[in-house]
Amino acid sequence: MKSLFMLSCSQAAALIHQQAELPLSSGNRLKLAFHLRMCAACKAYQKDQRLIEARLRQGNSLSAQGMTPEEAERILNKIKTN
Amino acid sequence: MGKEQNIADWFKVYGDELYRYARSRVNSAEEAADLVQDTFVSALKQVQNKTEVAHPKAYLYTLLKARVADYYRKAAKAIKLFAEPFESDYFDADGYWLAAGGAIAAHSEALLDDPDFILVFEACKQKLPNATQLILKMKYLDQLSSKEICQELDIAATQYWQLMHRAKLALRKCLGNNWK
Repeated sequence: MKSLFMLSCSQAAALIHQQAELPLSSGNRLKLAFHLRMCAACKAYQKDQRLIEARLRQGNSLSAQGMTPEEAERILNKIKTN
Repeated sequence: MGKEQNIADWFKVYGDELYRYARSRVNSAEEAADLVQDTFVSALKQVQNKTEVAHPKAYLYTLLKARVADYYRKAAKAIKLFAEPFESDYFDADGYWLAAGGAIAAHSEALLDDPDFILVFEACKQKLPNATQLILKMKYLDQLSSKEICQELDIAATQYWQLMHRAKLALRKCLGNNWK
């Protein structure tokens, strides 16, 4: 059921994304809080987004390896011949 | 000591660090190596026309960051506003979730440092369009505001929010499907 004060899950998701960056208007904040209180799926979605954002902030620690020796050698040669 | 020797020494000291910085911001090892090479070649040219560089590390970072910004701008040209419907991948006609499943956070904060989870996460991220990956990096690694990102990439705020909305829905869905 959608009405003036009821959000759909898709609208709630959009507000969850915005809220991660900017303060929501007081109207939207209320609507979202109301929706989250009733909707377990969106509540879980919000929790997952917090995890996803935290993970994005950390970057890819697995591919943090440096240059291969061949790559370093190639660049060094390029510097010396330029 | 020749200038080339000087720059070669800088490369030996700072090359790897600069490469890691570049690697975290572009999509492939080759592109990162190209940006680093370009940085040092350009340093070599500039230094030949200049006097002493007091802070080589800061100087090299300035050069590299300008190249990364350039890379961003080129990638931004590929950004299009998605016209085709996509909400139907996630929501029914009334805007409710299609699949209730896919929740991952129940597994707690420990996931953040779990190497297996990071692998799945990175694989999901790689599946996103390049321009979307780029915006996520600008937002979460460079910590730019949405306004700064829109200015830097010359895109409208609506485009930004739509890309972010899609990216986050897609990441969550992919994680839900691939992380048990």
